[in-house]
Amino acid sequence: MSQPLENRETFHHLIKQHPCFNGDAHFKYGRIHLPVSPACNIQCRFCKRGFNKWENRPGVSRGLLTPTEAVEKVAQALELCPEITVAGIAGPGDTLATDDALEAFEAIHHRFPSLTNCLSTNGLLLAEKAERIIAAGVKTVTVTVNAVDENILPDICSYIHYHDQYLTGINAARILIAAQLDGIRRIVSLGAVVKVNTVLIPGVNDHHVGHIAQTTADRGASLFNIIPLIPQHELQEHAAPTCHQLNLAREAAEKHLTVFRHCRHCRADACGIPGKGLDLAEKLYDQPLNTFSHG
Amino acid sequence: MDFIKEKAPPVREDRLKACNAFGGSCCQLAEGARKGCLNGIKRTFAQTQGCQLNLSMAILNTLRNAVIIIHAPIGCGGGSTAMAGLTKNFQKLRDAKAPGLIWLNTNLDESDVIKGGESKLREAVLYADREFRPSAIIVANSCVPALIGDDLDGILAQLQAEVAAKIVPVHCEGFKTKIQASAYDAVYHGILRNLVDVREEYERVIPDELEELAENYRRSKTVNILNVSSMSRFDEDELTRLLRALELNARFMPCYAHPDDFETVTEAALNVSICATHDDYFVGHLQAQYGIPFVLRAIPIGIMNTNKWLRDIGKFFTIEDRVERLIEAETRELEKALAPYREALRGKRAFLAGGEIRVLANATALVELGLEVVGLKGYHYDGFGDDFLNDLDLSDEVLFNVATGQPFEQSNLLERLKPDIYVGHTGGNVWAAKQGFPVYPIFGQTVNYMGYNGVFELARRLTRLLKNPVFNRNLAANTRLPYFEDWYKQDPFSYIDDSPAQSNG
Repeated sequence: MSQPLENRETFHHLIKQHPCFNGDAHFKYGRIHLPVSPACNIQCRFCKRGFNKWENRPGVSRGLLTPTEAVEKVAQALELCPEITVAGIAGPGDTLATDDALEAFEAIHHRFPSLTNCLSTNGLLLAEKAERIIAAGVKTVTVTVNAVDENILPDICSYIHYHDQYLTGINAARILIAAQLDGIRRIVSLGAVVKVNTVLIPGVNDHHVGHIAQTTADRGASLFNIIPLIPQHELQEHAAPTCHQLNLAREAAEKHLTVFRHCRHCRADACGIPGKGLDLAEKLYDQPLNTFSHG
Repeated sequence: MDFIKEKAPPVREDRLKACNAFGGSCCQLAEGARKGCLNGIKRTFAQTQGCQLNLSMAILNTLRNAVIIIHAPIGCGGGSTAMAGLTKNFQKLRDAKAPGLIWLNTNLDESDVIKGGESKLREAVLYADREFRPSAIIVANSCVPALIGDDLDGILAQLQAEVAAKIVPVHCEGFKTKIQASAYDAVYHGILRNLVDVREEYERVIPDELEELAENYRRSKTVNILNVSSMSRFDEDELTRLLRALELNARFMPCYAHPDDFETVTEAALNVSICATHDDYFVGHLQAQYGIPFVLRAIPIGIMNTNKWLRDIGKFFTIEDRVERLIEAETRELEKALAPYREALRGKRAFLAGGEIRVLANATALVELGLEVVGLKGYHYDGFGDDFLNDLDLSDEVLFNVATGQPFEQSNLLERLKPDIYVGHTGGNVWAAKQGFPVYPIFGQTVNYMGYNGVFELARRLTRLLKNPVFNRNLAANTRLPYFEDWYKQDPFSYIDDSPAQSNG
């Protein structure tokens, strides 16, 4: 890449205060996930987006916020928990499929310029919206890359909806991978730090994790996070990875990228310091809001 | 200049009225150029010459983290195997993690000529992306698909959505031109259309004035130096040293650059070309499209040319005083260092062969060192050579041969002129060496030629080479050359037919 050194410098400074990027910060600093993105442009076979109060997993939220409500929520959350340093949008849909997340970020950045804005996406539209993302003060981006092989991805992603086209199978896989890799390269070249999330699905992509880490590292990603599968939706009958499988995958990835080991599968409306185990969302939302995070 | 909307650039015969056949004195050449009589001259017999695709490969192969696909029958691009080692090593000088040269050929056969080669191309591009995950996939078109009418751009545009790499079609079909240098335009055309990319600027929600100022300052001090096939890493270091003395930041492209570097090519105050033959197409377009000014008058080889090059840059940044002080200090040092070599080099006779600008600039450097230039051979000749020819202090009888390849003319010339040293490119050096003349490369990736250091390096190496020419004498004594004795007695230019030019004139 053209400016690796500069990126590394920003990287350290940024992630010191980001609980989802740094093991130490995980216990010290807080984050708020804002459920503002209603729609998704791809369908993962393990993903069932939902709105409820009880499930504790990505993809679930109490309900949706409008961009204006999101700013208010950040203000309230900062009063409850001043340790919050990161405002993230991670669902319940894809953050770039609609403009809601970017509008929310622009408003948050305007009012709380010191907060680090953090965005999670499947990467399908990342390259196209990269400049606007950076302009809205987003400094850390998480891209969920479940495979970089077009023969594996159709087993994980059943369809994509891309520029008014409904695509399935290998064609969808090719376009999604191409868009993700190009998106990572582009956003990194604009100065963002990129974490790659991979959902570990035994028997589907467990042997492939090292390859994902290598390919995304080449494109400028800085961190890697492996999320064990929560079996549901189409993969309901599938086994979740064991601790051993998870460790093997982490070792394979660690050859190429730093692996973040503290991920807690947060909801899309989580709030608080993840390492302390206390979630403030209950206090933040009077009405049970319904959500899903990809963070 | 605006050809960027076309799929392929015009060839040099049309765009620059370049000539590739001429034999006569420099004086006659200058006169012919003035009258515009050079364009129509032809050869009635010609040996094979390098094709456009070959020269395009020489540039494209250097790009880091790119896969080159040659859409052609299996023979085309075979020359790339010879370059693989070189490319890898010199890529690693710029980036230790560079993967080296990766190239594929679509292997068109007889049935593809009938049925079209589109499916093979598609397969190759998808394979390249999946297997190597490069930053760019460069597809070089060759004669066969161009003749049968494969819709290269159509297929690649369709494929772009399916691959992560940026796809760059390069139209460098050999049959289209006799001026090999058209390859530079073909490559730059591909780069301009597909890799140069000005980012859309969103207004920041919170404007950061300090950062903006810093960014503008950085841009105002950044200079792109174009290094197409003419600059070694050591040349780059020397030019960086000189520009740093002027507090300018130099970036080098396109050779050995990363494909992503072209995205920010417009974030510079000035484009500096070191050779008009190479870069006029690129800098012309960057000025027309993005308003970035350029200088391309001088190539910094030899003292006078380096001074001129620095003064051009100094004039643009209005730092003429600093430039003069730098030139004064550097030349003073250089003269001191050159003194011991001057005696050994005085009066030695040299023959030069290479690209038009390069030979003329090198001739200036040799004359400065006290050598006598007895003959020159340029691959082609166009208007950009006129200035150099006028600046060069040569007697009017010095011969100039315009020929791409054509070693038979060169052999005859060398037999007559009997120079003490031959300075030329790889392809021609071998024939001169076998004829018994010591040879020195006119460009090499391991040699420093440019800047003040380059002049010293040239003097040092030439002195060492001229000290003992026995190797080449022995080589000649034990080699049989392919030409009859009779040929050496004929006029070297007997196969050049200038009647069309004469009748027009």
